[in-house]
Amino acid sequence: MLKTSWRYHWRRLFLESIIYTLGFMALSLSIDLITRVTPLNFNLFDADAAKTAILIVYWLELIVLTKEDTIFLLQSGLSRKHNWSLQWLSTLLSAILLGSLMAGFLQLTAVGQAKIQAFTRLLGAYQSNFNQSWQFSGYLFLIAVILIWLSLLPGFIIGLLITKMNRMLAFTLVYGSVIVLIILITSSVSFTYFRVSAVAQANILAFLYGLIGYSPAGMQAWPLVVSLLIFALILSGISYLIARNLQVKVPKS
Amino acid sequence: MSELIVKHIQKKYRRHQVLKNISFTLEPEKIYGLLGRNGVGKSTLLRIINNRTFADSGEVILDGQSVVDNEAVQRRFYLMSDADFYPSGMKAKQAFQWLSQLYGTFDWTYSEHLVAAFGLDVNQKIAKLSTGYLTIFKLIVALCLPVEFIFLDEPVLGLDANNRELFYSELLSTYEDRPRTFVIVTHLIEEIAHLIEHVLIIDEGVVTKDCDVTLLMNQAHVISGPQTAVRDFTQGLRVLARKHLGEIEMAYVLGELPRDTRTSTVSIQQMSLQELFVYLTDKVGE
Amino acid sequence: MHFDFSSAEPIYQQVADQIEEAIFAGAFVEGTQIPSTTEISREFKINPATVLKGMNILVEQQLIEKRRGLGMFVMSGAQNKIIAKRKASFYEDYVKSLIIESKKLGLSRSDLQGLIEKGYRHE
Repeated sequence: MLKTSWRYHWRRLFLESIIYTLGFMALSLSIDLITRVTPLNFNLFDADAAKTAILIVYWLELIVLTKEDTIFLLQSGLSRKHNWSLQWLSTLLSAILLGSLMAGFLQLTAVGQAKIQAFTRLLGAYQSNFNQSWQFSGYLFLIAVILIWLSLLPGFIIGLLITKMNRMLAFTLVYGSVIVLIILITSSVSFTYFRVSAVAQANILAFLYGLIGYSPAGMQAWPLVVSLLIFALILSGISYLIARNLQVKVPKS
Repeated sequence: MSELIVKHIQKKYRRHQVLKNISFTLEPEKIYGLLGRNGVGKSTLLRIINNRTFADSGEVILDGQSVVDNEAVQRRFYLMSDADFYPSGMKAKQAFQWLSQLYGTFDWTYSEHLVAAFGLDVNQKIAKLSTGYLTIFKLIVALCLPVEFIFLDEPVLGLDANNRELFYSELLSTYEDRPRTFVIVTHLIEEIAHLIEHVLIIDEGVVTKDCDVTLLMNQAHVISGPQTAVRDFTQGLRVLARKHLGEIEMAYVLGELPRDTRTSTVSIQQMSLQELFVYLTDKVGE
Repeated sequence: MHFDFSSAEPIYQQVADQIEEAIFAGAFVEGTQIPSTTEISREFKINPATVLKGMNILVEQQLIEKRRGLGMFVMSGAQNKIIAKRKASFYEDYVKSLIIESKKLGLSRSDLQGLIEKGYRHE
């Protein structure tokens, strides 16, 4: 039953990812074409915004799909436990699938090349602010953790709620994880601070100042971190509401 | 051939205690009628058994195992209800195929027969079916899946008289070919009165009647005649309700009648299951 | 066959009565098969257990018998048995109620006898 459920869910997910990637490609290519062929510059028609819109729609579609399939499979006798792991892993896998499909596409096009180069330059600029490469790796790791966590959040919360977990407990777990993440960051930073040279300590201090917006020179990382955190809070709030609504709807007709 | 045991189920919705203490046992290969007034929690009970919602306390047991979140047990159940749980773009045919894979098998021969008999268009999207055909689609699923317990919550919703008749005879025919346990929840009591073997009545959160229909109906009579004669006859009997038409009285009696009823001047008729249900659950007189 | 779902008789008794009536009338000939539980159940939407209960009454009275894997058959001598049974209960079933009714109507014994004579003449 679990195997069939995977097959059923992934047939739909895969189709969905392909359709959205194709849509993404078509939109990118046509915008490129219009910009090149016509003398007009479509400032109104912001290419990046359009592509972002596609991604947002994909995510919404993913939520609807997850909801539909969760209910369908639950109705067909799949246990909540299996349903949860299925949806949770699928959310992550489909994010990776879509990401790699789009990255693959970008790699192939000139526009994409330019974008990747720009991104590499941006990374380089960030890297130059760290005087040791492991610090930069740590920073990248942190950002990656936050991004993965963000991707998993909806599936995670839905899972918690449909597996008969006390609502308060689910709420605490979700928002608790935000606090745990902050504690994790703080402790790793202080752990590092007391073990490195004076120059590195000065760097870390500068980095921490940077986080709260104070920066005599160099990069300002705080807008990124803060906006990610705010985004996470909003997203988890929304998915909590959706999941709660869903739990009410699964049992009730 | 296993029994499904429902023990002390309680369920509260916000402040309202819907199910107070529900206990009964479903025996294998019987057709049950689960009756109760609106809002009494019949659907909630079926959803608890089918793992769609949770009981606050109590348990539902099959073969010594709890049915909660138990895949092995749940695949032996099917709940057909008015709640629409099919993905929006799915066609009837696709649903049959996926359900067949999820449950292991599907009775394709019988489904073909039912599709033809009811005239269902299997290439139609489920979301686009009319109320009647949606019900027909769900009934076909319920009758063709390889499950031992079939719970039908309002199985004739939106069906016309012809299709209801067709459904009842198909139900009996599939029941004879492959006996399973059916639990039917319906408000059209008269239509299923002779279809069911056993009746369960839920009232105010508990099971108030749990018995064989024939035995129950053998004890349910309407005594009518001149008021004094009826009063005389019903002395010491449990009278659920009395109706009057001038000097004529009709008494709805539940219980054994005196042995010799021939000499009496009153007329004795069988009460219908619906009348019995109405008088047992009527709150007006209290 | 027709069932009166609001009659004072329970349905299983009606099943037995109807089959008995058919045997009595010669519709179900001795030695032949009668409709199966399934057929009656499907046709009249009656639970098979109820139908079976009715049939068992007739089996007990040795009017029909079950042949393994084949179904129910009318036993030989069933019709005579029914006639004998009905003769025996004719007084209880008809004569007694006839007299009760005629008393209610104020008909005398000779009135009743006259009516019976009249009935025979018009036969």
